[in-house]
Amino acid sequence: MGLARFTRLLSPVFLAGAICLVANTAWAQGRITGRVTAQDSNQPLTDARVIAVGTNAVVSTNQDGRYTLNGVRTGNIDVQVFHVGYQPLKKSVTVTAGDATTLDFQLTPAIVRLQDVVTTATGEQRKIELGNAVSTLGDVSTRVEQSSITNMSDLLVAKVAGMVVIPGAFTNGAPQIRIRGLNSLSLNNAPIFVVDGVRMNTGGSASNGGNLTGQISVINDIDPTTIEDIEVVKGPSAATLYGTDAANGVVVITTKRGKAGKNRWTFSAEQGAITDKSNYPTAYMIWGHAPGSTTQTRCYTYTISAGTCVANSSTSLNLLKDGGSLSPLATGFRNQWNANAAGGTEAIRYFVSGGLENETGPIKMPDFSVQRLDSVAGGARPEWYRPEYYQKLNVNTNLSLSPASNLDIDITGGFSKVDEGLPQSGNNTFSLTYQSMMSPGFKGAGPGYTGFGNLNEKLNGYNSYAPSEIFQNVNQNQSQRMIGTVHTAWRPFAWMQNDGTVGVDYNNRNGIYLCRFGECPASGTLRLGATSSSTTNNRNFSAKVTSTSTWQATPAVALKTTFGSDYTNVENDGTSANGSQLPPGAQTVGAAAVQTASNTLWTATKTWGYYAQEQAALRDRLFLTAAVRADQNSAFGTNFQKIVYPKLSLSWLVSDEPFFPKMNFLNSLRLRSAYGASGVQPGATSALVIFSPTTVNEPVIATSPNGTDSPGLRASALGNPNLKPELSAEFEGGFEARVLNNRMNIDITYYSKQTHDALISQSIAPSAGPASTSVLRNLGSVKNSGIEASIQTTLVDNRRFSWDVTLSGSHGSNKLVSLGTDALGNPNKTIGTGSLRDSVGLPINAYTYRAYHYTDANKDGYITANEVTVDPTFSYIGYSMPRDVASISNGFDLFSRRVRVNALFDYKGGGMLVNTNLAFQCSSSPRPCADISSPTASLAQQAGAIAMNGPFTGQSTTALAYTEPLQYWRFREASATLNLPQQLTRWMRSQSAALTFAGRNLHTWTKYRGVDVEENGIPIFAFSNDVQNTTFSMGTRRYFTAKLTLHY
Amino acid sequence: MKSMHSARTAAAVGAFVLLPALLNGCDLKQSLLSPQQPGVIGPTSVTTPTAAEALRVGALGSFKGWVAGGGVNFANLPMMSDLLTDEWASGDTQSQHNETDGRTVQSSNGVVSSAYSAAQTARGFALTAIKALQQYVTPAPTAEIGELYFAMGFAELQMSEAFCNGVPFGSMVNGVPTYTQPITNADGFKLAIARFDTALAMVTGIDAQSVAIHRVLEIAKARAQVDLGNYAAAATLVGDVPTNYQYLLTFSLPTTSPELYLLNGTQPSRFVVGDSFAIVNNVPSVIKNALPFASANDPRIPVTGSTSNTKKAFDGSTPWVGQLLYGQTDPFPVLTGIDARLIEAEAKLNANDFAGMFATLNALRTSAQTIGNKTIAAMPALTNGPTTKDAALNIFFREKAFWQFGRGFRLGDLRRLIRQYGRTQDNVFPIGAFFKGGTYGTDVNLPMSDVELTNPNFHGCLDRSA
Repeated sequence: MGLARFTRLLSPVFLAGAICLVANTAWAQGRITGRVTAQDSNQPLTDARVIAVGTNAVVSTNQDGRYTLNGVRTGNIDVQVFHVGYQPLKKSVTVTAGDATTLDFQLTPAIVRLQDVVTTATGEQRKIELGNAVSTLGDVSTRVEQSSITNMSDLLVAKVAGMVVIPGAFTNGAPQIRIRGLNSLSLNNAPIFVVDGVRMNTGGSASNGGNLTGQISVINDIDPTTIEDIEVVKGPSAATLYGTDAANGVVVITTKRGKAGKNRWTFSAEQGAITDKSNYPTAYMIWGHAPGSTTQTRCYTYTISAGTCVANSSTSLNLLKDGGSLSPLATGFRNQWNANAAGGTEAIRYFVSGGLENETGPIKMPDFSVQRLDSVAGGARPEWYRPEYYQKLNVNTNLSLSPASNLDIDITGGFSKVDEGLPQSGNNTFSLTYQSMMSPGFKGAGPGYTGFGNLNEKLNGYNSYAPSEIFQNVNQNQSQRMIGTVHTAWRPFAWMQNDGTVGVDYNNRNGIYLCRFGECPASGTLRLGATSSSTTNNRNFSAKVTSTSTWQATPAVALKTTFGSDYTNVENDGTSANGSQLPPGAQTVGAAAVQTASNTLWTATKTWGYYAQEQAALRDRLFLTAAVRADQNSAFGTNFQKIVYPKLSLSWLVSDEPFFPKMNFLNSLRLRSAYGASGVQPGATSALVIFSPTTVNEPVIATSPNGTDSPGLRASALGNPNLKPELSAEFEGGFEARVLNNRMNIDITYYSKQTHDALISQSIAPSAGPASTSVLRNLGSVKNSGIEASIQTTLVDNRRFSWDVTLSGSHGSNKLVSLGTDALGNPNKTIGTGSLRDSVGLPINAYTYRAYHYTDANKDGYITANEVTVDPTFSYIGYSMPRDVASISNGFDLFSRRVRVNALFDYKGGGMLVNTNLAFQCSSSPRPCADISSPTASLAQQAGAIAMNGPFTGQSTTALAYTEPLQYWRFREASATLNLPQQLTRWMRSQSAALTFAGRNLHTWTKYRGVDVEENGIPIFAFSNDVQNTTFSMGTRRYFTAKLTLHY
Repeated sequence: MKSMHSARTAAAVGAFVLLPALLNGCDLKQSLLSPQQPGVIGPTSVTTPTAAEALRVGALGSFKGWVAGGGVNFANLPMMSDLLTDEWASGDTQSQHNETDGRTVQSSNGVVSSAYSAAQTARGFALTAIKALQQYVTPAPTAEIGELYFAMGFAELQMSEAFCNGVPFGSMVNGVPTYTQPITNADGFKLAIARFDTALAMVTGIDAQSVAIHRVLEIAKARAQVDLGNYAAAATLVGDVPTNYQYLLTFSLPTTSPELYLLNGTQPSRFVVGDSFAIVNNVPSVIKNALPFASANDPRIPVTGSTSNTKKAFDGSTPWVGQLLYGQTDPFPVLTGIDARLIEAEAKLNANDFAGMFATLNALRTSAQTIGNKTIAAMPALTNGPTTKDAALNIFFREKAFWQFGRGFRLGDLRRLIRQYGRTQDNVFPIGAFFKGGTYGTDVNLPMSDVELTNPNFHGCLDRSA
């Protein structure tokens, strides 16, 4: 779009802005000061937000409850005060030029605690001004203090309607976060994270060394104790001004700032225990013999039915659940210490924090393996004994400066250092989950099983490798990260505020994998030694400028005009090196006999956007907002230059209108609706035709048995010069109501979002001999719609006992509207030929299977292949991710608020989950699964296994039986916080102290037969990042913690 | 004064807020948004003779990948086709390998899809390299171009031998796929012959490389002619190929190893050498029609382990038997002079010259031969020459199987036994109890993969006949 056209587009906005500039040139300024206290106790309220309505002036009260609003225009001004847990209060005052006007507030406690001021792309705003739904976590400090929240993943799960969070399974496992469904078939569907204005790197990295373990979380680098608030911007209608990449939502994190006042300290110490009580499957064995033979053999239900095996006994073994001294699971432990200090003057305020966290997971080398290593290897190395661990050091410093009355500067800096060890789990034969679940079903020797491994080690029921060798595989990751921002707010006039933010997120990760010479399982040449090392550097740079002007056009109409521009540069580079055949004692790639290396040069994706927004407020009740943003991105194809995102929204506090009927039960009603668009950009190189290097060993002449390694090239990506971002446009509408004397807050939102130009990897049939069998094209269209609801209420509220409840839930629908056309111009109906497909009219990643039917025709209590019929065609089975989420949070204040008890339950349903572990157990030798190796297997179980394995003549197999409904309730969090009596706190010389006992992931109610409903390993094969992968991953851990918090 | 100051300030502020629009036309935008992918190799880098040579090397690397290379988890096309026969047994947990061994291959089999895709894309790489050499290298290097035509034709040949009737062979034109109709295996052989003929016409030099390429083209064309039943013409074509000739693919530790090593070289591995019996329910069970590759103690297939080994394959239950022909960096012979002699022997068989066939086979046995970099000691001659065609077939195809073990010939041979020599599949392919459960299926070829369904002309196999 050329300059002229863009200018014409924005001309009405410019006109309004110009009017603001001219009209406000001559205004004078004044000052408002005052104090905010609680009505009942007269205690000062710290951190209350004080807003001069219709202006840019926003401040927080200091520790003494005092505030000063500088640079306020003269004349009549409404000032509104917000504080969580109190009713907002608005008062009018007349401001005179050059003088300070005093305005004090006494706030009435609110029965329902709500966050009424939120951070948007254009700065802080009152929630009533927004036409879209914004969810906030609210009092993050209290949440963290009063529960067993150990990381960001814990903080986010089950807190926001419409946001599905599948927490990571093992220590520091990456959560999977999706907001309002899946928009894209090809790109990342995860929301972006913004911390204090800087785009945060959130890509989880897989473990190093070629052994699949799991995705590590990088969002857990942030220390929850340093967070002031988290706001979730859910869709394009709200994310427009965040630009390209925000279509999947934005998680906005604001860290704590200091408050003017004397220095206040907070110390906390936590100890905890971690267990793994997941439903790991049992391995079974039916012992028997062939007719007329005395040789022991393994029977299956179908061989018993066929008469080829005569059963005489059965055994079972579950090494992970009931293994006792053979089990690799024990109790893990964690401890954490934090200290922070905050205080300062009106000119300089500070918040400083430091924390150290140690966590050792529940995986432990079993005693028999320790004894073996003691006898043959001189003992176990420490990193083998407990291979799963996590240690994090955090230091944060935030400074807030006010060098002048119209100038504020915030400087934030956070550093984290992480060292972690990763367990051997996941889809590889060296994983202890595989070795345990694929047990023959007995210890010792038996049919097809000697009971000893390749090194003559006793297996004690493990499939083929003992933990003593498995744990010698070392996988470790280390990272150092720095996130820093500088934010400046300059108010040259009463009617104008200019903000500038510059920030960086620098993240360096090193991964190490090591098998020393003579160690690790005896497989191939592994015991000759192998090692690999990788380094990844991610650098995100963000810069943003905005200018907001306000104008009270008439007594009833206030205008706010914002212009802004932001720039993001996401850059990464890395190196990796691999070595095999190590000499004894060596650990580095450089010591290996065979060394290979590769590197990625600094590759960057850059986005530059600029926007304008105009908001009109009518009588501070009706708020109309119009905005437009234009983005350019370095990843767009050369034939595509710019994309424009519009936005319109309306918020109406209709209950305050004179015509609105007064209803006893209804205290306030706000209607809101919004329309907006945002996008997700393609990958940095997706538009390009690319050639990849390759090294080929080539003989000098074709008949020579010896060759030399020569450099080669091959085309690897077909590119697309027309590539453009995926564009998501969303409408949302809803209302917020406060009822029953403000005892209940109801929030309902409906959304409908359509993604156009969805990037589809359009398949190219291999027969064309393409360099790549797919090319990205903007072909598809996806629709998401749903409803979100939350109710917050206090059921009982008196001095001795109070009970507050928060209910939230959402239901979403996802549908592929179009998949573009094929080479002949015919509409594509389906992409994919396996069980996970994208089909028009169905959700993304829909599960499709052939149905099957069975009957025990001969009534022998067993199902055989001739008693199972498999349909020839595939049928749609269901969603591959939950579409229904809900949570119930109960809070009880007991004994005059000396004790606070919290309980959180959450629900997910509406999707399907493949029980890959059981399917694998039933299909792969020795097939020890219950469905065919347990004498008590039901007909349905047997039929499911037969349908998957056959053998059939003339019909295909189907694994439908192992794709189970994903529906569960989880007792997510429980905690009891005791505010210690004053006698005790005085003895400790602290102002207050609290002792919290908490638990996490305490119980699950589900019919799912698999390991855990939230099992989620590294994506493999055809599974995408949006589908839970349950192949030999670990289950969710259970935590019990005790924490002491002291305030000084 | 105050209003003038305010006006100037307002003007400055106005300029500030209009800054983004002004920058729209500025060089600053270019530098802030310029693509930054320094590691990317784009089309402008492949317009020189050196780049054309690199494309040639890359194309041959792709050829090596699908013929003899691959990864540690999934087999390439020749190994998958051999797995369908009696040469290999699956010691794997992967259903894709297991169902192939059991002759019940699904069209959605992911390993078959990958193997098929690799062979087809290798054709494309070869064609790209041919065009680059012709465009950027003067004079055009005929031996190198001929070798690339061989790579294309060999892919077409091997796919036609392994898959059902109905394989399409298209191309990319200016980045746009050009899809063709699926063709019968016979037409696939003819297409391959056309490639070889194109190359034979240009590779006429007397330097060592040209001679080597010319010979492999002759053997490849002859193999396709045998597939079409033109035995005599095939035998004539390879008459000048020395028995000790080998077209080799070489390997190194930093690059890759032969797939036979990766999938069978060390215990536990996913494949085990096939045998004439298996352990079913702890009891040895004869596999009808299967040759005793593992237990024959034949010097042409040196092995370690046995079909009753207590050491197991990858699945933890199949007794492990590993081949010793191809180690981690050993070369792999794609086509050899031994293959040429076998073509001549088959021509004699079809000419009812059973004695001639027998003599040719014994000539191979009674002299030391080389397979890859392994010397195969001379073996005693066969005795009791055949007097009937049936007996001659049994002897010939047994000898052929042992000479060509693991090189992707067996499936084509078993299909020819049905198609050209009138046998039934129950007398040719493994049948009876399958050691991983149930019984062997009825597949006599690999089904065309569902990944080809993107081709609007393709709707599955034309038929599944041999």
